[in-house]
Amino acid sequence: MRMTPLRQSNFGCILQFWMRILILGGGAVGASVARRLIREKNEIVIVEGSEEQCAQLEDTLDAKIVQGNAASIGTLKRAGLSEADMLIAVTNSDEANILGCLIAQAHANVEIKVARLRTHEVGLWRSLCGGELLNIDLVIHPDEETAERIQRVVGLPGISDIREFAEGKVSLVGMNLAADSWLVGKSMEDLRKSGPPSNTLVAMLFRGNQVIIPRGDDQLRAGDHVYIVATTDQVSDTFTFMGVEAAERVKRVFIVGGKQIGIEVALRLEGKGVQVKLFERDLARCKRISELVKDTVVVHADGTDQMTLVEENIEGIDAYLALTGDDEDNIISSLLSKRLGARKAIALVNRLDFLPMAQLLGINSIFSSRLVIVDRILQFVRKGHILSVTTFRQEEAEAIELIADAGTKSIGKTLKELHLPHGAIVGGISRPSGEVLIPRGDSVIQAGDRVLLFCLEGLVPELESAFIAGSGRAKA
Amino acid sequence: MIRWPTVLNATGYFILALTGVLALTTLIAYFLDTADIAPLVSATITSGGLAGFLVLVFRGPVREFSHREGILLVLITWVSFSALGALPFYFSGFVDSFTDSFFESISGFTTTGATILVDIEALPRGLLLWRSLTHWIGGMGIILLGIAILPLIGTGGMELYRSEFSGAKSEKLAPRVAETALALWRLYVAFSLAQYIALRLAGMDSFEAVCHTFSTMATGGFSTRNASIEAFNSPAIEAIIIVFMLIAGISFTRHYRLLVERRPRSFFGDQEVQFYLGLLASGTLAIAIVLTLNSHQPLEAVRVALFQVVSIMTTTGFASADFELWAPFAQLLLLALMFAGGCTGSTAGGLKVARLFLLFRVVGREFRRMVERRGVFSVRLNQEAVSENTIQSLLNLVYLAFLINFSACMALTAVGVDVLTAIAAVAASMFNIGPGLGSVGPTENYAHMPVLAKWVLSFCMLAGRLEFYTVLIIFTRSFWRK
Repeated sequence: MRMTPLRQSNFGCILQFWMRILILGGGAVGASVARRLIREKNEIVIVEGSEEQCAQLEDTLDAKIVQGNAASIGTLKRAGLSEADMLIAVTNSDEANILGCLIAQAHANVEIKVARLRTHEVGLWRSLCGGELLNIDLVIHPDEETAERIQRVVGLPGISDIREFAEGKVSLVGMNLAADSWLVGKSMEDLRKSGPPSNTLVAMLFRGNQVIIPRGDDQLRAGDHVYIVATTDQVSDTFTFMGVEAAERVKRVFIVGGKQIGIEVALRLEGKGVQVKLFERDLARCKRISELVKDTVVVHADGTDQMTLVEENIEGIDAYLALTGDDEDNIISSLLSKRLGARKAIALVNRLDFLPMAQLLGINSIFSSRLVIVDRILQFVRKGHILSVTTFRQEEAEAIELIADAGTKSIGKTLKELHLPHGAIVGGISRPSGEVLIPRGDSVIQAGDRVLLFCLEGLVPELESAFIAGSGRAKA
Repeated sequence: MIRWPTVLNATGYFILALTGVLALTTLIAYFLDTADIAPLVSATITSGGLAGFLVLVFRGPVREFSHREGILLVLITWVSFSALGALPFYFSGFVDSFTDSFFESISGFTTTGATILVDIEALPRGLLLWRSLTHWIGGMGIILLGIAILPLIGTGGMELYRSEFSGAKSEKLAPRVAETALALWRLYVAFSLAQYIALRLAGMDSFEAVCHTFSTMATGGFSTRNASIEAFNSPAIEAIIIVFMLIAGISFTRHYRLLVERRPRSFFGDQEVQFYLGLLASGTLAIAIVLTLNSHQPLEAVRVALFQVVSIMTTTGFASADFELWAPFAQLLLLALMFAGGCTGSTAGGLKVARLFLLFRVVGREFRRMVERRGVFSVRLNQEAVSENTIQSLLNLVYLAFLINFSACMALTAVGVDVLTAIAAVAASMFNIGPGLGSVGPTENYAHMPVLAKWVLSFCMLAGRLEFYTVLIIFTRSFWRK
C-alpha cells in the first residue's frame, strides 16, 4: 500500500494531519468533495473557470479559489500545484481533466491523482492513465459506477441499494419497508429474538427527514428506509429473512433514455441474458445505440408516455429504469410505471435536494451520479488509518472503515463495555485472519481489526479517538 | 433572517480578546510604575463583564455566519471595541466627556490618529501605551486578529476577512482563512519588532519606541509628544519612521511574497507598488522644489518634504514640521495625497493606490473607445484583465466616498466649522490620516470641534476604515428585509 502523505499542521498548537488537495472543477461534485475534505481538516484549493461560480465557492467554502482554465500550466502553478499532495480532476471536460493530471505528473510530480472521465472509451483510457505518462491512481467513470450500482439491485424489487465494504466481504443493503412487511412494528430486540441469520444487523434507519442509528427498543415503521449490514456470502439468507423475494431470474427490463448511462446498463443486463427495451426519442441517437448493443431492442419512442408503455407491454416487467437527463421526467415516469405494473422502478435523480422527497414518493431506488462520484472519491481519499468514509442522504449519516490501533480504548472490550456515543454503531469487523463478523454486544475488537462503523454526522472525530492512536486533538 | 444570538455570542468572544489586551496593558502600566492604573482596571472589568455576559447568555452551537450576520458582527465588534477602548480615557479624568473619549478611541482603532488631547504629555504612560496599542490592534485588523486566534470562524470567515482587509479577493496566502490571517499577523509582528529595535538603536527610550512602533506600523499617527516627531529633532529617527511607514503602506501580501516566499519579482514587478513609490517620489520632489523656492535649504526641504509626503500618503499623520506654514500649493498637494492613500492590503487608509491606478486606466479606455468606435479594450493590472464587475464596484466605491465626503463636509459647516477645516478634517478622518489643515493642522487638535462634528467625524473614520459599503449597507432597507 502506498504511504499516504501526512503533514503536521502548524496552526495553533493543535496537532492535526492533513493533505493539501487541489480540486479541478468547482461544480456540484467538486464543491461536495471539497466541503467534506475541508471538514476533515484538509487544505483545499479549487480551480474553476466561471467567475460567477468562483464567487459562489469563495463565499461558501473555506478554501482558496483560483479562477482559470484547469488545463493551463500557469493557472495550476498559481493554484500551488507543486505543494499539492493530491489532485482531483472533476471538471466537465475529459480533456481538461487528463491535461490537468498530465501537468501534475510532469510538472510537479503530484503523488495521488484522481480523474473523472465521461467518454465511453474509458476502458481504453484506463490503461493509458495508469501508465508512466499520466500515472493516475483512480479513473472514475460516473456512468459506469452508477450502472454498476443499478445493476446490483435490478432483480431485487424490495432493495433500493447495495454497497460493499471491507473489500467486498461485508454488504450494506438498503430497503424501503412496505406497509405489509412482517418487519413493521418490530423492535431491534424482537428481531434479535426471532433469530435472523447470525450475521445480520440493522445499521441505519431513515424516517422522513430523521436519521436513526437504532438501539434495542427502536421500532421499524412502514415507509422507513432501512440499511442492513450482512456478510456478503450470507446476503441471500438475509433477503429471505427480511421477506424480500429475489426474482429467480430477471426477464424483462425497460430503460428510458439513450444517454450513456442507459447504454451502459443495457449492455450489462443483456450480457446476463435479460431482455432489455431501451426507449430513446431521438432517431439518430437510436441508430447509433443499435450499433452498440447486441440483443437490446432500441425503441424510437417516448418511454415516459403511458400509451407507449402500455403498447410495449409494461405489465409485469421486472424493472423500469428512468435514466433520462431530466430529473422531473425520471421521477414522474417511475411513478407511472409502478402504476402500470412494473415490479420495480429505479430513477436517476441528479438534483440532490430532490433525493429525500423522491424516496418518500415510493420509487424503489434512486441514484444520483453526482453522489456516486462523490462517494467514490471520498472512499479513495485515505487519511491515516481511516480507510474510507461514505456518506448517506445529504451527509446526515456516514459509514467509516478504519483499522483499530493497539492501545486505544476500543481494544479488548466487548462492544457493550465500550459505550460508544449515542448515534454510532459497529456494523462489521473484518479480522486480518480473513474472518468476517457482524458484531453483537459481546463481540470484542482486537488490534488490527478492520472495523466498519455507522454514525450520525459529526461523530467522526469522537470515534476516531476511540479507535486510532494519536488522533484527535492532542496538544503538541 | 439574522440570528442575533449567534452574532452577539461571537461578538462576546471578540470582546473577551479585547479584555485580555486591556488586562495586559494594565499589568504593564503597573510595572511602568504609573501612579494611577485605576481607570485601566475599571475598563478591564467592564469589558470582561460585557464579554462574559455575551458569551454566557447567548451560548449555543457555533454556526456558520450568513452574509448579513457577518457584516453585523464586523460592525458591532468595531463599535464595541471603540466604546470599550474609550473607557480608560473617560475614567481617567483627563478627558472631559464620553464623546471625546470615544473620538480618541475610534481614532485609535481606525488608525486615524486625530486627537482631542490638548496636552498629550500630561497623560500617564499607561494611557499613552493604551492609546498607541489601539492603533496597533486596529492596523492589521480586529477581525483579522479574531479570525487568526479565535477558532470559532470557519466558513463565512472569508466574508469577514474581506470586510476589513482591502483587496483580499484576488490573493489568499493559504487555502484556509485562519492561516492567511495568522500569516499576515506574524509578518506584522515581525516588522514591528524590527522597527522597535531600530528606534532603540537610534536612541529613543524603550517606552516611546514601543508607542511609536505601534503608531507607525499601523499607519496611525498618535505620538507621545505634543509636537509629534518634530520633538525628537533627530534625522535618524525620522529616517527609520519613514522606512517603516513606507513598508506599512505596501500590501502585506507583497511583503509575504518577497520575504517569506522569496519572490522579489512578485514584489518589485507589482504595478501597484511601482505606482505607489512613483507617486511618493514625485510628490516629494514637487514639494521640495516649492519649499526650496520659498524658504528652505534644499537638503532640509527634501528631508521635511519626504517625511511629510510619506506620512500623509501612507495615512499615518506624524508631523516633522508644521506644514500649514508652507506655500498653498504644497498644502493642497498634501490634501490630494490624502485621497490616494497606501496600497490595497496594507494597514494604510485612503482610496488606495491600485484603485487610483485603475481609475486612470478606465478613463484612458474610455478615451480609446471614443476614438476606436468598435474597438474592444480590457483594463489590466499586473498583466491580468480586471473584470467589468470589479471596475463597476470600484467606480461605485469612489462615488460613494465622494458622496459621504461631501455630506460630512456639509454637516460640519452646518455646525459652524469653516470650509477649509471642514474639508481637511473630513478627508483626514475618512482616510484615517489624522491631522488636517485649517484649525485641525499638525500643531492643533480636534478638541475645539462641536460635539456633533466629533460624532460625524467618528462615523467617517469607521466608514473609511471598513471601506464604506460595510458601514452604509445597514442603512438600507433591503438589508433588514427577510
